[in-house]
Amino acid sequence: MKKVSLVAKREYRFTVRRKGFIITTLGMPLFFVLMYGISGGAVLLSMRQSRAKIDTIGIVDESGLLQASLLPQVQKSLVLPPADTGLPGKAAAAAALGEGGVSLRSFDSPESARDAFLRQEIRGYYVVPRDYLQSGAVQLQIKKGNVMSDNEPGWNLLRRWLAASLVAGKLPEETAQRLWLPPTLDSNPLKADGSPDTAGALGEITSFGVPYVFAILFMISLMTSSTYLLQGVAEEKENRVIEILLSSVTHNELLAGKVLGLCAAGLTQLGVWIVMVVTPAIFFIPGIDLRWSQLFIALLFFVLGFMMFGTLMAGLGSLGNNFRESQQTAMVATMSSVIPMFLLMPILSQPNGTLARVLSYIPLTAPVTIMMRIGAVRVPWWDILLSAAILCASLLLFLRLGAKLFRLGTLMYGKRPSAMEIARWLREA
Amino acid sequence: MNTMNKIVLENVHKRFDSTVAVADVSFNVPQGGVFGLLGPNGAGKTTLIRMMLDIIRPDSGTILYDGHQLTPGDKDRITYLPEERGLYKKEKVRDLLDYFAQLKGMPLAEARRRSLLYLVKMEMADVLDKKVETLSKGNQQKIQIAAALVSDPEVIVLDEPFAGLDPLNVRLTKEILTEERKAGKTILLSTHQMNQVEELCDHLFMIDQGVRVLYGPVSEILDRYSEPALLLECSTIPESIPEIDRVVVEGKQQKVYPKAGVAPAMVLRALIDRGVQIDRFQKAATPLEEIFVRVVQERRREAQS
Repeated sequence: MKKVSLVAKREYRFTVRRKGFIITTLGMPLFFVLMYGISGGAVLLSMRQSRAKIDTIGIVDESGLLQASLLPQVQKSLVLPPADTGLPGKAAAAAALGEGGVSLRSFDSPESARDAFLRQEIRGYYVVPRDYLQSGAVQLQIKKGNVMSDNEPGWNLLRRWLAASLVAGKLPEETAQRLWLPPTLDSNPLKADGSPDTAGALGEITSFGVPYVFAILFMISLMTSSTYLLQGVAEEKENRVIEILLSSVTHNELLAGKVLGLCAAGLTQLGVWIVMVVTPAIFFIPGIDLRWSQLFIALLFFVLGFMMFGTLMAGLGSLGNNFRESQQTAMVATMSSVIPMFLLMPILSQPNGTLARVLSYIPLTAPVTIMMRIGAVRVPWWDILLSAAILCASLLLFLRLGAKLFRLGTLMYGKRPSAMEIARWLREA
Repeated sequence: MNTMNKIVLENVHKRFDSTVAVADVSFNVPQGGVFGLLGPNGAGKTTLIRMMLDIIRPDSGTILYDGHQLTPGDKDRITYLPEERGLYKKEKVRDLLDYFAQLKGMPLAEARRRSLLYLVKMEMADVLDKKVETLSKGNQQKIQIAAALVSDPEVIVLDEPFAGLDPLNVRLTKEILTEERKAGKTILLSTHQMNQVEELCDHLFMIDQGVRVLYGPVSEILDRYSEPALLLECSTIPESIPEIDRVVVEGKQQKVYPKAGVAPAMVLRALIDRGVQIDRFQKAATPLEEIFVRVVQERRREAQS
C-alpha cells in the first residue's frame, strides 16, 4: 500500500504541474466567465440600444372614443414592478420598454399619418374607425421589423386605453379599473408534502443545473486528466522507466497508484472549479438552491467514474508504442462517456424511463447519465444504488483486466496487438 | 539447496508467440561477486533478466531467490539498470533518485542521504538540483547507475552499464562496482564488452538463441578454451630443454608448449637456469571474445546440421 501511495503521489504531483493541466484548470472558469461576460454584455448592449430607439406609432381616432386624459394612467400600468418579472430593477424596466416605451402621436386623418410614415417619422399607425363600437376592429399599417422585434408595438397600450376610455364615467372608478387592467396572478408553488416550495424559478434551474454542470465538468476533467495518464504511461514505456518501476513495484501497485493519482488530480481540478465558479455563483445569484444529497451523488459518481475510466485508460494506454497510438486506442473509451450527452433530450424527457435507466446500468455511460437524471427528477434511491454497485463491480473487473493488459502491454514493443490478440491474452494471463 | 547461491534458475522456459526466447535454462548466481550474463543480441538476456526481476513470468520452471520463490517484497532488494536508458526528463535529479529509492522501500531521509553520497562518488554532486533533461547523455547514464545503487540493494542487475561512457567514467564506474562487491553485493552484469567480463566477473553464463552455451567460473572457462601453452617475450630459447615440448615463434613472442605434467613454474625455472632473459611470462589464454565467437559459431553450426 505504501508503494501505491508513493506512485499515486508522484503521478499527482507530476500531473498537476503539467502546463496543460494548469491551463485547463484555471482557463476553464475564465473561459466561462468570458463567454458569459461577452454574451451578457451583448444582451445589455442591445437592451440599451432598444431603449434608445423608442418606436413612434401614429394613432388616428376616427371614432372619437379615446380620452387623452386617461393615457398617462394607462401608460403607467404597463411598466411592471421589478418583483413580477423576477429580474433586477434595471432589466425589468428594460423588459417593459417594449410596451411602455412606445411613444404615441395623434393624427387627424389616415392621410396625414401616411405622410408622416413616408417621411419616416413614425414606424406605422393605428386607425380606430368611425364604426369601432359596431365592428370592434382596429387597423394597423406598419413597416415589418425583424423576427426578434415587436411587430405590433403599442398594441397593449391601445387596447387598454380603448377599454378605459369606453367605461370612464359610466362605471365606478374601481370597477372600471378591474375591467381594463387584467388581473395579476399570485402563483404559489407547493412541494409534494404541501409545504411552500420557496426555491422559485432559479431554484429549478440550479437543481437541474448543478448535476448537469457536474456532468460537463466530469467529461472535461476526464478527458484532460486521462490524456495525461495515457501520456504518462506511453512516455514511461517509451523511455523505459517502466522497467525500473516494475522492478520495484508490482503491476497492480503501479496501476492502482497511477489511477489514484489521476483521480486526485481530477478532484483537485473539480475543487478549483467549484471554488472559482460555484462559490461566487452562490453569492451573486440570488435564489440558488443547492441540494446536498444531489451534490453528494454527483461527487460519488464523479470519483467512481474517474477511477473506472482511469483504470481502463491505463490498460489500453499500455498497448500502444507511443502516445499517439495509445490515444487512438483509448479514444473509444472516452467517447463512450459522452454518449449520454447525445441522448440528452430522450433522457431528460423521461429521466426515469427505460433508456435513462439502461444507460445508468452500463458502466461507461453511468456517471454522466446519473448526473443528468438527478438534476431532472427524483431518481429512486435503489436505482442510484444499483448503478453505483455496477460501477464498483466494473471498477474491480477493469482493475483486474487493466492490470493484465498492463502486464502484457507495458513490455510489448513493436506491433500493436489486434483486438483478437488482446482477447487471447486476457484469457491466457 | 546450496545456501551460497543468491539466485537459482531451474529449467526456466519462456516463449513469445512462436519464438522461444529462453529454452529450459538452469544456472545459479552465487552470493557475492560479479556474475556475467553474456550472449549475442537477441539471445534472450533481457528476457532472462526480466524474469529474474519478476517483470515477466516464465512459462515454466522456477526462479528462487535466497532459496524461496520471488515475492513482491524481494523487489526491494534487487535493483535494475535497463539497457535502453530513460529517465523522467522533467524531474530534478534529487527527486528522481529519492523516488526510485523510496520505491525500493527506503525511508525518504535515508534516500536523500544516500542519493547525495552516490552523486559525490559519481563526481556529480553539483547536478542534484538540475533537471534531468539538462544533463548530457553520459551524465544521465551515471545518474541511472547511481539510481541502481542508492537503495542499498543485495543484488544489482546492470545491463550494459559501460556503454556510452568515456574511459574516465568507465574506470570510475568500475571502482564503484568493485566497492559494492567488496561490501558483499551480488552484481549481475550483462554486457558485450568481453574485456570487462574478463576483468570484473567471477562467474559467467552465456546464452545464444535461448540456449545455454557456456557456464562456470571465468578462470575455468578461460583455461578450458586456452591452449596449454605459455607466452613469452624473451631472448632465444635454447633447444632441447627437457621440460619443453616445442617452441613456436610468433613475431616478438614465443609460444612455449611444456611437456605433459610440467607446471609453468618448472618451465620458468628451467629457462632462468639456462640464462634466458625474460621480459614477459604468461599463460597463453585465449581472449574471452574469441571464445565467445567460437562457441556461438560452433553451436549454430550444430543447430543447423
